[in-house]
Amino acid sequence: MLLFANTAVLIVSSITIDLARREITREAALAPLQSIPGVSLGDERHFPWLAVTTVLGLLFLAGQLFVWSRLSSGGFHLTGGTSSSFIYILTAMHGLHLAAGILALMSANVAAVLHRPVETRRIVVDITSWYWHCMTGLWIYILLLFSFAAQ
Amino acid sequence: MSRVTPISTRASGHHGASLPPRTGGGSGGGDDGRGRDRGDSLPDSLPNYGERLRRARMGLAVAMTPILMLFISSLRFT
Repeated sequence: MLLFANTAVLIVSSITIDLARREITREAALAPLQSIPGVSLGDERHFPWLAVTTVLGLLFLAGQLFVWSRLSSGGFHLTGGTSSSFIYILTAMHGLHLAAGILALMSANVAAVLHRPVETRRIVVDITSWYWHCMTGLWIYILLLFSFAAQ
Repeated sequence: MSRVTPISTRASGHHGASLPPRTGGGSGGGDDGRGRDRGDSLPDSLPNYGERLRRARMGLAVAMTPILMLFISSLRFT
């Protein structure tokens, strides 16, 4: 049940980062219009999709640590055997890669706070979003793998 | 006698120098050999941006390939 909740968190984070990508794409497309005299884009409020994605990513990692603690308390240890080691290592590798994605998200957040050029921010958000989608797909693959292996 | 020009008319650029001159030519002219990412709908004033984004996506694809191979190859251990 915890794993499915974690999966839902990751899927939602994938949606939010894609919304952030679409928003920054629109912002990058409209940015040159601001240099035109007499044209104003107005004071648009942007929803902090990047920050929400970062929080969801951290929530996922915390959920993973919780799942590991529950597995360990239930007698399923890292050194308990080949299968248990494999599960821990595979999920740990995924978690490490996701942590790298979270670092990229944080750098995108800092770039936004420091008012870096929108083109540079867009590249960071675009690449990070595709990386995040890959990580989400990998996690679903891992979950299916474990589900079929358990049967 | 002053005349109020609607924004839609000003945006067309037919009634004066309301718009800055386009750099890099229009859609069919000014071909400088630089590839433009059509999917981004970016203006010509940012000539390097589309190329930078394309290179970054290619780099991500190259970097993700061994990672995906590593995870998918784990299927043999199940």
